[in-house]
Order: sequence, then C-alpha cells, then structure tokens
Amino acid sequence: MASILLQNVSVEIPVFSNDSRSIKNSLLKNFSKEKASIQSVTALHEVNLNLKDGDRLGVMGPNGAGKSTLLRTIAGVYQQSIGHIDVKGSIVSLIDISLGMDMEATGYENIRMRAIMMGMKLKQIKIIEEEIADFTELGKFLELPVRTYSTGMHMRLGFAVSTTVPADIILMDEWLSVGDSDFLIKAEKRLHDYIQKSSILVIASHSEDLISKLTNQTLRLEHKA
Amino acid sequence: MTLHSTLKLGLEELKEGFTCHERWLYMAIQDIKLRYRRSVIGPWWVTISTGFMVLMLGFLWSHIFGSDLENFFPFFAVGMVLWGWMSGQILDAAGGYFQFGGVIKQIRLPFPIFTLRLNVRQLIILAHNTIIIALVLLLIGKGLSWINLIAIPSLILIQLNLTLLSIVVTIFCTRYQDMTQVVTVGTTIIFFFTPILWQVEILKDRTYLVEMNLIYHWIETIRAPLLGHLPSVSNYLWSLASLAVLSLLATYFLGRYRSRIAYWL
Repeated sequence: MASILLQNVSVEIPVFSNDSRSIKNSLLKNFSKEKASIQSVTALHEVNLNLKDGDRLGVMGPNGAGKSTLLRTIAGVYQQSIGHIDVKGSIVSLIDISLGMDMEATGYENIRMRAIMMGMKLKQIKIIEEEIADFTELGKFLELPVRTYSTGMHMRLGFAVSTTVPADIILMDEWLSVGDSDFLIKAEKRLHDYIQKSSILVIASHSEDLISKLTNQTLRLEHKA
Repeated sequence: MTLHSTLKLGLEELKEGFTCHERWLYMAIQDIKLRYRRSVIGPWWVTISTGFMVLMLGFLWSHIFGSDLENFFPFFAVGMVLWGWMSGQILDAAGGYFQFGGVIKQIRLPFPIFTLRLNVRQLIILAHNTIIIALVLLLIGKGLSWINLIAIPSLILIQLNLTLLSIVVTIFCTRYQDMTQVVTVGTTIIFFFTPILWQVEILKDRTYLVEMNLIYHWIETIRAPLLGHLPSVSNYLWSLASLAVLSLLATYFLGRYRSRIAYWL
C-alpha cells in the first residue's frame, strides 16, 4: 500500500550569498548590531495532496512555479518548513536519468553502481544486467567505458537503468524521450510498462496532451509574488 | 526541535547508514578500481611512493636526530603510514558533500553512506600500505610478534573515531566553505605537533605536549602493538573518551542538519 499525504506543506529554500557561506562572516555577525538573516524563497506555499494506490497525478505550472521542488519534497530530499508529510512506499525519481553515471566506468559497472545505490542486492543484479543488455542493444559496448558512447547510446543506458528497479512511487520531471525513431517506440513501451507496475505516479509537465493521456488528476501550481 | 528528538533522528540516520554496508563497501571498491583503471599496478602506486618517501626520509631523520636506525626507522615508517590513512580521511571529509550533490538532490539516502564510502577508500589504501610496515618490521625492526595482532582491534576503534569525526567535519565544511582551508592547514599543524617525525623522549620534561594531544593517543594505540609493546592505559582511555564525545557530536549534527544539507549544495 503506497500513499502520499501532504498537509499544508510550505517549502522555503534558503538562498546563500557568499557572505553567509563563510564562517568568518557568520562569527563576526554575532558582534555586529545588524542582524543579517539568510534570505529565503518560498518555493511551495500550503500545498495539500492525498494520493493513494492507482492515482496518477499530473503537475502543471509555468517555469519556476515549484514543480521540481514538489517532486523533491515528496522524494524526501527537501524538508518542508511548515506542514506535515507522510510518504509510504519505495520511491524512484526519474528527474535525472544519468544520475551518478561515471564516464570512466564501463556500461556494466554503471548498471551495478546505480542498482546498488537504489538499494538492490548484488545477487539480484546479475538478472537485470542481462535484461538491460538485451533492451539497450548495446552488446559488447557495455564492456567499454561510457565515455566512448555516443549521446544516443548514453541516453539509452541511462534510460534502461532508471526504469529497471521497481518502485511503488514514480516521480518524473517531464516525459522521457530517448534515441532514434526505432528505439523510441521500444522506449515508450518500456516506460509505459514500468509505470503500470507502480502504484502511484507523479509527473510534472508542460504538455496538456501528455497530462490528460497519462493521469487521472491534475495539480496546478501558480506563481505568486 | 528538542534535544531528545534531534538525537533520536541522528541516531536513526547513523544506524541506517551503517547497516547498508553492501552499498558503501561496493561503491568504495568501485571507486578505487576506477581511479587506478589505467595503470597496471593500480593502488600499489601509492604504496610505492609512500615506501620511497619513508625510506628516504627515514634515513635522513634518524641521522638528524642521531637516533639508531633499528629504533627510529620502524617508529617513523609505521607512523607515516598510519598518518597517511588518518589525514586522508579528514582531508576527504573537508571536501564536503559537494561531490555527491547530484545524488543527494535526487534521492534520499542516509548521509553516513557517503562518509563511509570515502573512509573505506582510505582503508583499502592502508591495506596495501601494510606491506611497507611488514617489510620494515622484518628487515630493520624487531620482526613480527603476536603482540602485533592487537593493532587490529585498535584499528577498528580508531576507524570508528575517524568516521564519526569525518561526519562532523563534512557537515561543517558543507555549510561553511572556507572551513575546507582551515581543516587542511589544521591537519598539517597537527602532523608536526604529533610524534611521527620525532619521538616522545625528545621532549624530556615537557611530555604534557603529547599527553594532551588526542591524535597522539590515536596513533599510539595502533603503532605501539606494531612496534612490539602494548599501548598504555591512557592511550585507550583517550581513544574511548573521544569515541563517546564524537558519537554524541555526530549524532547531534546528523539529527540537527540532516534536512538542511540538500539546501546547502
């Protein structure tokens, strides 16, 4: 049973100037009269959400409205300054598919590294290695360092690795599209299958089309001065 | 947040970090493999360069101090190898969490994972460097004895100290970027204040200079059994006391700042 509950959640992101990053200045501040406080930006203001199994939420809004911040807050990366959050279930975020990829390491090593980072056991990894090799059609290239890959090959690997580890909750920032037309169809299918297996999807996008096709609820974030 | 809930949060984070050992062990081994990918002898390069330095400087300094080689050389060699391992971890920690920024901003992982990953890298290098210690003990020193084995539990005790200290230093250096310089300079100063190049007897009646030095006790806890005698009770007391203090400090730092670190990157 996966669920996401946000009650009156606000997120303030502190903006650090060079001054506040220095301990000298932080110490000196204690002696000076003016109390210079760290400025912060309100990225989310009183957001309420209640998602259960089977929910597919589309998040819309202009650039800078807080879509990515919302995803990061659900993922537990950013902590809310006010409000209450309760997320149950394993999370995979597809915000950056080349997360943690090392250019010097081989394709296989990158697969293992990422899978380990996502909490897979070494025993399980053997199986996904074969599956990814099959899907990406990279063949012998997987034994070479990633730096020798073309952009397309790089994307394929990142995409395949990201969509392998199963999770209850999937967080996406824009729909992923990778590769040439042949591969595109394959990738679309894989992504749909992957999302099917999850119980909750949260996707941020600008495209009305995509949101209406994929989701059953929409959240609109607005700018506020 | 009350002190109690802060410590509880920190303890949880610490526990989670230590228990997913499969992750940090694998990552550290992978890091080492990658770094030396393009060289045939790999991390043995570090061993060779450390070995050469110890050899050259060992002869030079034993001459300067006028001490006999059999006594000074093993003392210096063991001290240098251990110092490389200790200072390496603190300097890694002073780099802050910046190198893991991409990961930290996308998935929520217990922060000790990253510190342990860095610590294990240094442990792997130390494991290679033990060959220097073994060679020096066999060829110049008193040879190997059963007492040497006491160095292993000592090493675990000091590694725990270093890991907790690394967590505190990393969080501090992530928040205040000018701390990296301070830690780097501080580490160099401590090197000269700690009996590694010079032996305690040189201080004559001013031995309080080392008795008050925590790092001396850390080094001595491991070095003494390697040189064939038992560490003193005060070595152990200092190391255990620092372990207690650092546990508390690391737990507090993790509990207090865990949720802030992502904003600092």
